[in-house]
Amino acid sequence: MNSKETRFTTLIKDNEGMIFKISRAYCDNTQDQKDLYQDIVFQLWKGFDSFRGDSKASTWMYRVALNTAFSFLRKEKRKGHKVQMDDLQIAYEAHDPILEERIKEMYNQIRALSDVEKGIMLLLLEGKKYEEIAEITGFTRTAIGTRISRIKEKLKKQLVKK
Amino acid sequence: MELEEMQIAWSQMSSELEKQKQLTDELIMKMAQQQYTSKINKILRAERVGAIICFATIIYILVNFTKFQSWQSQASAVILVITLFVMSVGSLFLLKKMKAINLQQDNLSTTIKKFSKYKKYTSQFQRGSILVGFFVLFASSAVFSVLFSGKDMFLEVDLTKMIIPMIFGLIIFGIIAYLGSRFYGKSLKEAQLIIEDLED
Repeated sequence: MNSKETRFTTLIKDNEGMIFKISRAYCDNTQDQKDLYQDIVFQLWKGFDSFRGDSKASTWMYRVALNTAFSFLRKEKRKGHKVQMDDLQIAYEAHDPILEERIKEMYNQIRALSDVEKGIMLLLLEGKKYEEIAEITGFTRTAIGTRISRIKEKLKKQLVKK
Repeated sequence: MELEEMQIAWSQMSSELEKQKQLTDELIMKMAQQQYTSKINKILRAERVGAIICFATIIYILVNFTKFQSWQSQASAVILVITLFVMSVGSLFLLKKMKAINLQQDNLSTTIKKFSKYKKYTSQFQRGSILVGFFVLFASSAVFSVLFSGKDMFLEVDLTKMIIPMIFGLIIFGIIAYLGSRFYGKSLKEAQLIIEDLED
């Protein structure tokens, strides 16, 4: 394996959890999650040469992953596709059934948000600050603040509905 | 679940995921390269093929233009050539818009805007194509009759015998046009709402 491939595989291995979390937030079934996961890895590989380190690697990865998730949803609506990769096992199960139940509930709430809100919510849950979220998504810091308030409102409404 | 509870669950899940690393170097490169060979340009291929077919038809009509005897069939050929040209150019324009989306470099806001604009243009274009198709239906029948059977409909065929099949064809096309127009109208509205939301 050459040095570019080694750097790339290291980067992906270090961030495989992040790719999984994004795939699960945007797709509700395992096959679509696998497809999106592959698509994100593919897009990252495609853009790896152009990534010059002007921004942090994680910022760039989040940006590509969220863009890919958004584009994936649009393409999925138009047509089915994908290479079968049976050896890709990305299913995750928490060892604690109560935690697993809470995770499922959390993902259901995230999936009920709009595509933009999903992205912002994921970054917020990842512990990103408003400035970083703004840098990744391209919105202003103020717009991020407004959208986070809207997300909180929506979450409260979801609770009331239950 | 409130945001604070979600943050706790998220962080617990993240710690578990850290322990469950599953990817190997081989699998990562397989994902990166298998996708490359199988998927790239798949979406754009159909649109390119469509544009090529339109251009080929234009050339074919122009090369055989002398076969059109009556002024009506000549006018039909001109209408069809113009329509096909506009459709090919429109299709290539949309292709260009689609290609302007750079998933590796744009941020989320830009990507969504570009996607929504592409969707908007596509919906407008397809809606327009359906309406144009309605009017070009008759012209294309006249042109292809000359090109493929050598008969100029306006000189050799009894047009009164064609009234019933044509009315039937127009009704079917009218239904398709109505449904298509409604569908693309809805898509257009959705795209417009996304753009407005982003520009808030």
